[in-house]
Amino acid sequence: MSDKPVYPNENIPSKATDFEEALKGLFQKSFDIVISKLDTRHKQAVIVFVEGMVDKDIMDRDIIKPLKSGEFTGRVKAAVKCGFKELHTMSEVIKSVLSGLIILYYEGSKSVLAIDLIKWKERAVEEPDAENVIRGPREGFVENVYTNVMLLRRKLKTHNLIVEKRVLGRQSNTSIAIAYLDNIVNKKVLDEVKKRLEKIDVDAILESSHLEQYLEENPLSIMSGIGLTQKPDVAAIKLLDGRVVVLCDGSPHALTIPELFMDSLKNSGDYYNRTIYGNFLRALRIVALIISILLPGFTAAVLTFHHEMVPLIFLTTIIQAKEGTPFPTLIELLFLMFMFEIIKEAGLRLPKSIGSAITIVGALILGDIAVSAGLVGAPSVIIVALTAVASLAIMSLNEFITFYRIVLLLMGGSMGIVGLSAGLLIMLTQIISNQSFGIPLLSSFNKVNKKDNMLRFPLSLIKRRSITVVNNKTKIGEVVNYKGDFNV
Amino acid sequence: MFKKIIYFIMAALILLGIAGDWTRVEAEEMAVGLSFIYDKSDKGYRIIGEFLDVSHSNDPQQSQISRSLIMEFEARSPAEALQQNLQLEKALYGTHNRVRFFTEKMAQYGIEPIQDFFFREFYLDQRPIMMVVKNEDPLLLFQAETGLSDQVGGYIYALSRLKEERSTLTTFVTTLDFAKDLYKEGKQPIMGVVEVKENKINFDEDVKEEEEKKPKKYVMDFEGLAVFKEDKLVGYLDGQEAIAYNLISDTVRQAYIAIPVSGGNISIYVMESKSQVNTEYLGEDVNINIKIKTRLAIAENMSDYNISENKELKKAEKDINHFMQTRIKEAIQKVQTEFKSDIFGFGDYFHKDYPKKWKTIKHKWDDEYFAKATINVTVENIIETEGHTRERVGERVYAE
Repeated sequence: MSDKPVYPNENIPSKATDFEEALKGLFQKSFDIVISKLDTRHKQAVIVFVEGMVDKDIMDRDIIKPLKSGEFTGRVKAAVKCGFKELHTMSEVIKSVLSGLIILYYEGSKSVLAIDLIKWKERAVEEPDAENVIRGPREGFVENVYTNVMLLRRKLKTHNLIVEKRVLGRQSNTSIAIAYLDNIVNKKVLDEVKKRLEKIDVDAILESSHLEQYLEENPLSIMSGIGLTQKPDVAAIKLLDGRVVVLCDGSPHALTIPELFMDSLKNSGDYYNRTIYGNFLRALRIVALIISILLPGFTAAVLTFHHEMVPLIFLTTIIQAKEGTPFPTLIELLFLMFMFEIIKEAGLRLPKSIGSAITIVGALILGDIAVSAGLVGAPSVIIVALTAVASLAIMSLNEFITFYRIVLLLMGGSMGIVGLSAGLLIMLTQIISNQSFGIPLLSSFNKVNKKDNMLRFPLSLIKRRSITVVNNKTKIGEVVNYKGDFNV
Repeated sequence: MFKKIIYFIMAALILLGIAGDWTRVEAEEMAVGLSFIYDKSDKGYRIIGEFLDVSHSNDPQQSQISRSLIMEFEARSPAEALQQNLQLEKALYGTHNRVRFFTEKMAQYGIEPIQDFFFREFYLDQRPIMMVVKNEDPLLLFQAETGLSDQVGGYIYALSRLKEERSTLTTFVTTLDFAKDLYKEGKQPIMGVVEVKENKINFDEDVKEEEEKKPKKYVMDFEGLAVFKEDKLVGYLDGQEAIAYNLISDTVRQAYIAIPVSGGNISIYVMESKSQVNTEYLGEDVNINIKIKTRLAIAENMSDYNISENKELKKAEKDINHFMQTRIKEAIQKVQTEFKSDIFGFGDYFHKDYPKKWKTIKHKWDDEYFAKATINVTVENIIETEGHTRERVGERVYAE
């Protein structure tokens, strides 16, 4: 089926009836598109808009009333009391109607007026669920791309913040905004992003995750190299670090490009809290990463191959717990892990009130009963629970962690520490060889970036921008040292 | 892209094939051995094993304490006895084994053949402590009290960890230590000893009869050392002689020793001890000079010396020196005359001092040179602190 609209030609018809007919032919089956003829003192006018997308009160006051009044002289542009844009082709007219503009046609005139009185119901700016903070701003992106751009502009009031617009999706005509700081951004990455965006030719982009999958370099890789955030302040930090932020209409998630490995372990809280506590949190997250990837594999390896590593008292407890359970450790751990993933998935999709019930049933009852029924040993439940809690501490790496946890569990449980090491080697090889928009994922581990990598130095000591993404050593600015200023 | 996945799977399979550790055992399929007694029997070898037993722990009627299971195996060789038997239904697991006991018969026969088994088998290791059981019936060991621990193995392991540096009355020798001494030139091995004794308590007359009807209680005594010549047991040292051995071989870290001086005992706390040994070769005669330097603290003073006065303190110091000197000399002489086995490692010092001469006499060292060597011992004690009080507690009361 052709995507081109069916109307006689691109030129605006000179008669109101023809214009009305052309549009009605196109939209006749859609009840929400209002096409109505207005009789004025002089010639006929046609007004077209989408029901529910425009502010009708203002339309009445500023467009319809002046046209209907006795003082109307026949000059439409003078009569309309609000801003407008002139359109000259029918395809422009159709696109504008669907984007929510009011189209005003006046017989005899060569152009059509498109008036922006867009007003629709949208979600208020509120704190995103997935990125709660104790300290720091609580506003989050919403589904409207214009609101989101406004939120970004409020953070970075500079002419260097450039927001370019693209429209993608043959059917959805989704607005995409590419935001970057012109003086800081890595131009190569920016060009690459634009190039890849231009190549996207699909029916619809309904969510930024669609965009993410079309943009990433290796669809089968476990890490996309593209970051996600729902918070304007985080997006602003990324922009200041030379990243490109891509916003997609209809999605409250902004894409930040590129996302390196360490970025996933960083959190806005690290910077909002004081240095030592911020570092503690970051260290905690690194430990959580290690636990959540390695613990089940390590446990399976040690409990089936290397019992000499287990202290005797603990070994006694393990034997006591496993006495009378039918499955090997590997199977127990796999079973519990899959059970946890299922509970997680179920709890996520259900309404919040039922979700908490599922959590209780899943976590408490299933876990407890599985142990007392002799299906699994209690140590396995503890290991899987610890792993699950640790993995929730780093949600940004969730897919990566879940995948490699299972790989390492299988390898550790079938080959012991040898297999675990081999699995780790495969994992490290993959991380090392992966790139995000031409920048290696582990490239932030360099000499210059050491002040904000595994550890965060006090902000006053981080004087230069990271060189990983931005290929310049721009000074962030002179930092005033307040020491001794308060001696009275 | 799909090529990569296939490579990944292939790599994993190859790894599994060539590097896979095929010794997979689930924890509940193992018989965890905690201690073993090795005995020589008519058939060959008799091995008594103590295994961790948790089979009753899930039974609410029973206590939660894990118990041990005692099993006896007999065969022509230790490996056959442990692996070929038809009694043990779970896989034998030896790396949590804490103690290896040897009966006197076994130790006199020679440890070396069995030592080979310890080092060759992959499920055994070199960490367990080795001990000679003095009792005729080694099974008494498993009837003895095990302190606050559940099993004999755990009891001796915990004891060795605590007492290794705090007691000089014995030495806890691991399998590796023993092997090192056995294969080292100029040093003969030693081993700890254990003797199971009846725990005699003097009850009051009215309950005595009743108490004596109850089954006997046994305790373990670890005092002393077993002296080996090559791999064969030749005799024992008592606790006091073990102190001399520990001082010479420099293994004393912290220890309390009671020294009898005039009027009573002075207990010293050895904070640091260092020994120096050098040898002199004087044409077929060997002089062995031992110098022991210690830093002491007074732990208790029940003697006549008023150690708050410097003069008396020096006298006490002299007495302590003299006592230790004679005791060490006596101990060495006993070993020289009775056992003719250089357990102190003087031969090793001689080897370092006279490497060329050593090559010609090493085979005769124990019987001829060590046994006849002249021993000079000097002990230098420095009392660094007299403890919290300088005066004897109660002295003032007596004065009044």
